[in-house]
Amino acid sequence: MSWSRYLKIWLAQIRYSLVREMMFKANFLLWLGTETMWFSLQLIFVEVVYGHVGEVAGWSRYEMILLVGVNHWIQQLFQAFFMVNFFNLPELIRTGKLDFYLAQPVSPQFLVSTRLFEPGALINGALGLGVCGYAILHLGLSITPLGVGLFILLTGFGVMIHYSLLLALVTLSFWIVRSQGLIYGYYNLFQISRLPRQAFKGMVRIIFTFALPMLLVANVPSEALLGRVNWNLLGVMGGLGTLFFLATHFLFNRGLRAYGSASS
Amino acid sequence: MLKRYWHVFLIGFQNALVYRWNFLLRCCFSLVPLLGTIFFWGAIYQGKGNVGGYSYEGMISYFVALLVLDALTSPTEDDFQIAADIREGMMNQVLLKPVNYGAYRLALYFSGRMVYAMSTIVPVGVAVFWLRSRLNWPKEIDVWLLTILAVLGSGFLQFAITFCTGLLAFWLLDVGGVIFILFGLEYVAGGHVFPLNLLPQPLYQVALHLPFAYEYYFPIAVFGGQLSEAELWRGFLLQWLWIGLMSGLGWATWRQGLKKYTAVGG
Repeated sequence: MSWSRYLKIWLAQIRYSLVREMMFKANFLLWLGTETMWFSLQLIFVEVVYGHVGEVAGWSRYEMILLVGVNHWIQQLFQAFFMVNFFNLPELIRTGKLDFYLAQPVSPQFLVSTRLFEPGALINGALGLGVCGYAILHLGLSITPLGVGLFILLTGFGVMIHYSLLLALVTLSFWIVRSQGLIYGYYNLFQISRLPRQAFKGMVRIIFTFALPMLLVANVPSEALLGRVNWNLLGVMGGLGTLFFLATHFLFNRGLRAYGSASS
Repeated sequence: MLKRYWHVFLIGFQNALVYRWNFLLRCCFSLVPLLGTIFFWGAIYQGKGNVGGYSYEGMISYFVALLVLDALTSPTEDDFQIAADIREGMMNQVLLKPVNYGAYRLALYFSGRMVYAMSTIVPVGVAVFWLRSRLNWPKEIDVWLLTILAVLGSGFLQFAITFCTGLLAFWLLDVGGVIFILFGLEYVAGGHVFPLNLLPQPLYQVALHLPFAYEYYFPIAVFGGQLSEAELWRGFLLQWLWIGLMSGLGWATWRQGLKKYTAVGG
C-alpha cells in the first residue's frame, strides 16, 4: 500500500477525532486548561529558581525558558498524534478488541498508533512554540532557514524517540495483563527531558543520553536554536531514534504473535 | 461503633494488597524525578553555599522528606474511587448500611496508605540510604513528635480535599480534569516543586494562608526544625483550621450531593 493511501487514512482519522472532540466542548476546554496550567507551573519553577541564581549548568534564564518551551512543544506534539492511542492499547488487548484493528488491510502498528488524535494537545504545543518565540526575542537570536529546517528535523527525532520508547513499553501488555502503571510511569520520564543535560553527571547522564535518551529530546533542538549545535549528539539522536523505532517495530510484531484474542 | 470501621479498614487493607505491585512500580517511577531534582539542584548550587536560606544538604533533605511524606500520606486513587462509587451506583450498598460514608472512606484511606507505605518501603529505603550522608536529621525528640503530628494533619487534610473533589462526581460526569487542576495547585502552592520560602515574600505569605501549604511544605519545615516557635504554633493552628473547614465542606457537599443522587445501577 502506498504512502499517500496511509496519509489519507490518517487524515480521515484526524477528521473523525476532531468531530468527536467537538461533541464534548466543556471537556475539551477543561483539559486544555489543565495542560496549560501544568505548563505554567514549569515556567513558574524556572522563574523561582532564577530569582535566586543567574545561571544553571550554563543555561541563562531565557535559555532555560526556551528549553522548557521546546520540551513542551515536542511532548505535546507526541501527545496529540500518538500518546492517547498508546493508553488504549492494553485495554484493546485485554478485551480482544484489537481484532478489529487486525482485520483491516493496513499495518496494525499504524492503526494502533494513529487511531485517535488530540487537538487540545496540538494547541498546547503551539503555546510551547509561542514561549520559544518569546525566549528567542529576549535572547536576540537570529533565525535562519537552515536553523528552522534543523529544528523541524530535530523535533521529528524527538517525537520519534518518545514514540518508540512508549510504544515499546505498552507493547509489553501483550505479555503482562496489568501494565497501566508502566504507562503512567512514562510521565515521570518527561520530567527529565526539560532539564539541561549538563546538570547530569556520571552513570545517570549516560543512561538518560543513550538508553532512555530523555536528555537529547529537547536539549539538542534547543541548543541548535541557540546556535550551539552539537553535531555528534545530533547524530546520536537521529541514530538512536531510528534504531529504537526499528526495534519497537520488531517488538510489536513479536507481541502480535503472542496475542491470543480474548473475545468471543 | 469503631469496630465497624475497623472491619472496613481490614477489608480495605486486603483489597489494597492486590495493588501492591502497582504501588511498588509507581513508587519506583517516582524516583526518576527525584534523580532529576538531585542533579538539577546540584547544578544550581554549583559554586554557591546557600540558595534562599537552604544549603544543598538542606534542599536534598527537603525532597527526600517529601518522598517519605508522599509514601505515608498521598492518596492514590481515592478521589477516582469515590467518583466511581457515585457514577456506577456502588454508593447504594453503603447507603443501605448504618455507616457514615466519610468515615467509611477515611478507614479505606488509612488502609490504602498502610499498604502503600509497606509496598514502597524498599525503594524509599534505598533512596534514603543512598543519600544518607547528605541528609540533615533532627536530633531533638520533640521535633520528631511535632513532625508526627504535622504528618498526621497532612494526611487528614489530603483526605478531606480528596473527599471533596471525589464528591464533585454528583454534578460532573468526569472529575478527572478538576482533579488534575487541583493536583497542579497542590504541587506548586503546597511546596511539592520547590520549598515555598523560595517564593518572593508576598507570594510566600499568600501560600501560607492556603490549605495546600499544610499538605507538604509545613510538615517538612517542621521536620527541618527551621520554624520559630510562633511560626510553629500558627502553622498547626492553620493546619487544623483547614482540616476543619475542608471536612465541613465535605460534609455539606455530601448532603447536597445526596439530594441529586439517582442511584444508577448498583
